[in-house]
This record gives sequence, structure tokens and C-alpha cells, in this order.
Amino acid sequence: VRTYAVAVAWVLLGSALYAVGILRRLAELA
Amino acid sequence: LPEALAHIALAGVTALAWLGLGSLVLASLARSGDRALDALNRIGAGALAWGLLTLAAGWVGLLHRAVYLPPFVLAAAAGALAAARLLRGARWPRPLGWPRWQLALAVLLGVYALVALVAACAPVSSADALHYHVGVPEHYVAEHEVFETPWSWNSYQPFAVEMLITDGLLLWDPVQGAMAPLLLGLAALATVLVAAERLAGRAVALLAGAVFFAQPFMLWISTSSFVEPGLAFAIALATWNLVEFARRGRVESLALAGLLAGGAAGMKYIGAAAAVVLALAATVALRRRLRPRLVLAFALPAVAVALPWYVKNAVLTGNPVYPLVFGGQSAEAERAAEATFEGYGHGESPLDLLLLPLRLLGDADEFDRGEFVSPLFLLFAPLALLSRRARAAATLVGAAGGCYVLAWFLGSQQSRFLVPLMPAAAVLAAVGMIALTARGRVGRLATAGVVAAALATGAAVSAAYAGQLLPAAVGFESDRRFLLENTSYYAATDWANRRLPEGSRVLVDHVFVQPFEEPAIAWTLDALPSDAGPYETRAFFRRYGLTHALVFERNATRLRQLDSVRARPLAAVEVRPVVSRTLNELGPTTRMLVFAL
Repeated sequence: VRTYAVAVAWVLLGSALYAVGILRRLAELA
Repeated sequence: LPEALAHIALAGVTALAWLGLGSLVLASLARSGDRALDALNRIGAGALAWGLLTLAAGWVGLLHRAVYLPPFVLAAAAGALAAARLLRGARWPRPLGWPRWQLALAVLLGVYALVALVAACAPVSSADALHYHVGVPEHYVAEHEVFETPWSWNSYQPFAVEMLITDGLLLWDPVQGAMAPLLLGLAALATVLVAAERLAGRAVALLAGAVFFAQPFMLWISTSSFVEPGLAFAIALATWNLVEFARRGRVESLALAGLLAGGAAGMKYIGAAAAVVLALAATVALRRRLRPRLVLAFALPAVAVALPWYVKNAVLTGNPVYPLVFGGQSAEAERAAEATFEGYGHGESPLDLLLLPLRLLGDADEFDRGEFVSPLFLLFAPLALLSRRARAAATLVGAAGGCYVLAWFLGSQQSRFLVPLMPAAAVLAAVGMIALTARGRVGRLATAGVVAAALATGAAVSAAYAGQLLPAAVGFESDRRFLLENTSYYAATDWANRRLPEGSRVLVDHVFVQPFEEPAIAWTLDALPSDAGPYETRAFFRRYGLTHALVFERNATRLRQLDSVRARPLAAVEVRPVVSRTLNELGPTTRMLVFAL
């Protein structure tokens, strides 16, 4: 269960980090 | 539009010519029993054979259309026969019975492939292509031979893909040349799809294909005359052949893996690094079965395919990997070359290494267009370890990938150089997705949501990139207008194309020697040192038969050298660099001065 939780957390936090990066880049361009 | 369709049709004929020659080269090799693998092996071997034949023809001054066309037509005819044989009785996929999400992925991949084919029909506008991937082959074709171009150190890289671009130039024009890297990219996609399907089924295959190809990064790479699609294809297919050897023990698979790994080393120096990592991983995986005979079966074809490029460099410069490792450039040219590959990433400290995964996800623009790489590789490839069945293979591939990434981290941190890893990483990511969805509802929802969001974001960025190219590709926008908006300093190039007389030879203060209509060379520090006096400068101009120079008005060094040989100013042209085609970003306006020499 712990491995599963870590895996889900990695996917969600990683994608949030990616989303923040993309939004920051868009803000720079704007 | 008819011109774009003709380019695409000729790209199809080129693929047949690769298949035809590859069928001839591999005629004595027993078939694997897998038609798709046989076809891809023949296409790969054929592309490598065309590359080496073009080098040989160029070496003896035979780069003429009349020399190229007869073997091209014959090989394409042989390819058509081979394709008919391979397709006879083949089992085709029946997508109508697939789950909807798989159908959606297949359609998405089809759209990406179609957009890539059309976008590649726009005039060549990628910076590196204008410099050497297409710029140098144009010189070869103009002079009908392959010769040394010391003004571009990049032209000493192994040049197999540039030889295929040369073939496209012989066939028609630079756009036809640009079709060769795209074909290699599509072949890499086919390899990912079919290999993953054979290993893990259709769901993994479609997910892996989408992770690999349905991303703006791959669309950019495949449609910009880069070498990397070729590296991805060669390394992916070599890996699949190694897996085939591990499963069935046929020596032919090992020889093909060697041929393709050597092919990667014959495309670019980083291809050699990827081939070495692959060979080491194979050595670990197959350690109990290794025999000298098997090592030779892999190594001999690998060395045979790669060697000509390294021997060429050793003969011309005394350094087989010029200008790396053993040097050979002047100190200032070496500094300039280093600046082109060390100016990327955030640093090389242990902390930077630790933060690398997070930066690749959230702060990747420092890795040269890293923000266009799909996040799905990094998010899901580690999760392949969740799959019991795939764990051993995932550990091995992960370790090999880790070694390559470490070398990349300590070398030049450009995301492009990670492309050889992407096919294997895409398959791992797809396995990771399936493994996570199998663990429970939350995993299923997280996977579906994140994959859909990443593919949608990628599609939006891809649309922005393709939107720049498609109008020019189908003739809605003039080539001139397109080039003004999408290639650096084109206003000066355009001035030269309109005003300079036929027979001119142009020296340019940047590296974009394409699309000058008259032969142009780049005024790099490799070409002439900054401290060269009037005698050396005049000798340099004479050696290349230069008639005109285009120099930035702020380049005091080159202006001093022009002044020392009494060059005559003709005009000043306002120019702008292009920072990003996708983002429509231009740099500040500056001026280039035109001189008669």
C-alpha cells in the first residue's frame, strides 16, 4: 500500500510541478 | 499544396528505396518470422547503406542527380516488391473493436504523423538545419562531392543522416532532404509501437507510441532536419533485436542489433555514447550466454558501419572524434565550440544532479526546449517497477538509461540529446501506467487524468508550432514571408539573394548558410582566428573565392579585418534573430553590413 501511495503521490505532485512550470512560462511570454 | 503532396509521395518512394536496398543487403540473413521486425530491419539497414553509399559517391565526386536517380529508382522498385511480399497475407489491426481510449490514442498518433508530414513541407527553417544539417549537404551537392568544411566543426560529426538529406537534395530540394529525418522519426514510432505490442500487448503499445511521438518535442525534432530521430530509430530497433536475441537466441538478431547500434554511432557522436551504453546493458543482461563468437557477431557489423566516419576524421584532422577529446581546434575556436554545448542546464554539482528530475519537469526551458518534452516519461517510467513481470527488465533499462543521463548531465544538457533514450523510456512509462491503473481506483483516475491532461497540453503546444509551419507548407504563405518570420537574420539573406550577382561567394557573420542562393560559408573562429592580420585574412578570402561578406555592425573584430583588406561597404540591412518559432519570439533588431571583397 505504501508503494502504491508513493507512486500516486509522485504522479500527482510531478504533474502539478509540470503544470506550474508551464503556467510560469506562459506568464513570462505574456 | 500539389508541391507538398509531391514531396510526401517522394518520401514514400524514398522509404521504398531504403527497404529495397536493405532487402538486398540483408538478403543472406534468415528472416525472424516477424514481418514487421523484418521490414523495419530492412528499412534501417537500407537507410544506413544509402548513407554510406552517398558518402562513397561523394568522396569520388559523383553527387550528380543523373548518377543518383537510376539506383534510386531500381531500389524503390525492389522495395515495392519486398513490401508486397511482406504485406501478402499480413494480419491487420481491427481498430473498430478496440476500447475507445485506445482508438483515441491511435487517431492522435495518426494526426501527429500527418501534421508532421505536412509541416516538414515548409521551407527549412530550423537553426541547426540552416547551419549544417542541410546547409553543409547543399555545399556537397553544389560541388558534386563530399569535402572538408573546416568553417563548421559540426560537419566533422558522423554524418549518416546528413547523407540521407543529401540524397533528398539530389532528388529534388531541401524540403525533400528534410523528409529523411522525418521518415526516420516515423520509423522510430513504428518500432516503439510494434516492439511494445509484441512485448506487452496493444494497450502498452499505444500508450508508449503516444508518450514517444504525441508530444511537441518530437514534432519539432522530426520536422527540423535533426539527426536525433535517426538515433531514436537505430537505438530502439537495436534494442528490440537484442530482446529478440535474448528470447530466441538467433545470432542474426545480434548481428542486426550491432549493425543498428553502429549505425547510431555513424550518425552523431552521442549516438556512439548511446551505442556503448546499449552494448554494456546487453553484456550485463546476457552475461551467462556470452561467447567470443557472439560478441563478434554484434561488434563486427557495428564497427564496420560506424568506422568510415571516424577514419575520415582521422585522415583529415588526425583526430577520429574531432574536435572532441583530442582537440585540434585553436584555443578560441575550442572556447566558442564549448560555449555552444555548455550553455545549457542549471549546473553540474551533486545538488543539481539531485534536483534534475524536478527541474526536467518544472523548469526545463534551460535544457534547450526541454519544456516541450512530455512529462509522461519521467512521471510514469519509474512506475514500471510496480509491474512484477517487467521489474527485471525495467531495472536493467532504468540503470542503462541512468548511465546515459549521467553522461548527458556531465556533458551537454540539451534535451535533444536524450532522444535516443525516449523509445525505451516511453515503453517503460506505458508499462508504469498500466501497472498503476491495475493497483486501484485512485491510481486509475490519477493515470487517466494526468495522461489526458499531458496529451492535451502537448497537443496545444504542437498546434502552436504546426500553426507556424502549415500555412507555408501548403502554399497559403509565401516562402519569403515565412522565412522572414521564422529564420534568424533572413532580411540580410534575402537582400543577398536579390542583389548579389550570380557566381558570388558569400561570407556570413552567423552560421545560417542556408537559404543563401549563392554558396555561403560561416565566418566562424574555425574559419579565421580573430587575431588574423591582413595577409592571413586575404589568403582566407582567396582560398574560398569569397566575393562578399555580411557582418554584424557590432562585430569590431571582423570589421577591423575587413578594413585591413580594404573591403568596400555596399549596404546595411536591419535584421532580427528568431528565438523560438513555436512561441513566435524574435530577438532585438540589429544591423548587418554588406561588403564587397
